[in-house]
Amino acid sequence: MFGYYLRLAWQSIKRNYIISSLMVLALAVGVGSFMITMTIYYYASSDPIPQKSDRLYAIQLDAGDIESDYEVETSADLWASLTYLDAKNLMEEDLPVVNKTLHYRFGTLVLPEDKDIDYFGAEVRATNRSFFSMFNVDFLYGGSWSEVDDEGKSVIVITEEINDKIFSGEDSVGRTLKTNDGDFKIVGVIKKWNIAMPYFEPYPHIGHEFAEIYTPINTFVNREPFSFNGSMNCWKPFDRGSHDAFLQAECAWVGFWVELASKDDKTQLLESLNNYTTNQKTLGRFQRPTNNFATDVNAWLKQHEVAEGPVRLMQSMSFLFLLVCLINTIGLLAAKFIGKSTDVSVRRALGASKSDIFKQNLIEVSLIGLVGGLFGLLFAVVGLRWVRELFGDSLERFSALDPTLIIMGVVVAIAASILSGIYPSWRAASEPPAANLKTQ
Amino acid sequence: MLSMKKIEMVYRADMVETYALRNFNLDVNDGEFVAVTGPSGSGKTTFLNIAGLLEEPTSGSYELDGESVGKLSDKKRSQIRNEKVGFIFQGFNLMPDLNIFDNVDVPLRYRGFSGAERKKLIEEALEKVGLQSRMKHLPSQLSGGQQQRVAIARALAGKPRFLLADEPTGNLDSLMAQQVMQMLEDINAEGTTIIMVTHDPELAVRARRNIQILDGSVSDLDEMMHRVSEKVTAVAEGA
Repeated sequence: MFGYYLRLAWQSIKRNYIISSLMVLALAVGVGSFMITMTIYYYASSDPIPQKSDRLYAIQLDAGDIESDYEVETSADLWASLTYLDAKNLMEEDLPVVNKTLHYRFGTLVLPEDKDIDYFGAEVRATNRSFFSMFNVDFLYGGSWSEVDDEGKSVIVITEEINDKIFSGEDSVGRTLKTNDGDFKIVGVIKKWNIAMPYFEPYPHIGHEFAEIYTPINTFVNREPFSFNGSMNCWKPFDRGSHDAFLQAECAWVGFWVELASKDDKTQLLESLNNYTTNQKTLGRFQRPTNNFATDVNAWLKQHEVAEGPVRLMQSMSFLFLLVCLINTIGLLAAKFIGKSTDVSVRRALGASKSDIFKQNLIEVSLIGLVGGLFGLLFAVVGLRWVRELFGDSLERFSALDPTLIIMGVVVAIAASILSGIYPSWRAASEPPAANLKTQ
Repeated sequence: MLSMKKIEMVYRADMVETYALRNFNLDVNDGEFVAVTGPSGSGKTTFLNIAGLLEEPTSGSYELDGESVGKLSDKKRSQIRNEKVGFIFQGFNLMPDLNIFDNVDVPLRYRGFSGAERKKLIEEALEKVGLQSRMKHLPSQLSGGQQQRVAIARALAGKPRFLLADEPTGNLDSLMAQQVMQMLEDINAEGTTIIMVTHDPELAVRARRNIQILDGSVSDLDEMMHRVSEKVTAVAEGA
């Protein structure tokens, strides 16, 4: 009977094509807007590095002043970066980890040699070579710089986007990139990031730009004038005229991550961090109670509520919108089924039971849902492109629907249409069969 | 085959109760052709709806083929309706989007026949009403008489035990009405029980038995006529 009901559904849709189109439109708009926010939520809340997210830990140390008036109960109560002094010390400290990285970012101007290409601003991440292996960065050409380069050589890794822009996508390894901070030898080109945001940032959020250039931290950190983009928390005064004083200052601005061999090593890691801060206390630092934290990737994202706040609000709004669309669909379905009441009565007289009519109606509703869902996906694709144009390339990764989301969109549409069709379908099936037999 | 005892049908709307049938008793035997007449609003269609299991009486007992059908589930009532009853309506009630073949197919679909079985039964039924060449036509492409013949084919396709016809010639001109009536007589002659509601006395007298419904109760005109004729005979013999 399924094929038969499907054929009848298609005929009914064609017969009442205006009402059917309105229902498809209502579902498509509702599902489309829901899919847009679901896509953003899905990417924002998904694990960016599932292979090792439970082994990568962001480090936070409470190096605050004794007079600082704040309480720390969880890692969220503490600033998300370290002082340069601590980051540098921890790089040299014997921690029970397989890898560790420190990083900060700043801006530079790229000066292409090709006169046809205008100069442009680019975000630079100053880090060490471990950054690439720790965060599983894929290279298109070349690779990360060497251990020797880490000491402060003028080498850089650029992104595929910059490589496309300046070198037309050719292998640029070995070539030079001119910036207003000097000339740099390119040692690697990384592929486009395929994650929602740079989660390793001290304060990650949706729309956070990925750095386009990567360079050894020692190449830049000692330069004057010093350049820095991001959040910096200072709790002790220092000589602002001296760069050396700044590097020794009690100011948190350097992100620090470690990679453990196993997540079970976390306790050992915290012990080592506590030992470090205990030692620092003897030097007059870390005057507050010991509050050291190691937070894995997913907990880090949760701590920064990347999938909360505006994303949740948007999701709730789109869910309400979907609900309004469904209520409209219920009204349209009721009108449609009233128009079919004679048909239903005749079928009942010829032997159809209530459940036969109910099933027939639900299949029609599901078909409308399927078509509405497909159009909804189209709306979602267009809507996501619009979101991307509105917020820029930082949301590029949100503008694609992956297979899970496509299936989810169609399932949501069909489920929503079935949900909205249950009552009108049952009403239509429950009409007394004799009611309309004399009206034709 | 059909036995109704003390059937009452009451429609309630707010504080108003309307008796459509009251103390309604009727027995119809296998193979009968019963014409049901009566003024508008007398309860003819209500009787037909109850007989065809489209409505449940408020009280009383109704047996079809010896089985009490008063308190069955919707599924069971639908099944009996599908297997034992064929309906013919005044307004034909064909599905406008379905071609003739598919219209006749409707009751067979609910019976669960295979595709091949359905095709055979549809072709047989359409052949019986002389429309086998119009299978792919839509109802709108046929005349009123032809549409009613399709409705008869649809009613007959599943080989039901009895046909319920509600003013089957009401929307037809006299020539067409005669053709349809002839068709019903032929069907009855082959053994199908027919109950036909009609306003047309000329058609009613062609049935084997006539009953009249007045104010929701049945009067068997044949039985009345039989009694009158017995009295007339007795009076004549006495004289």
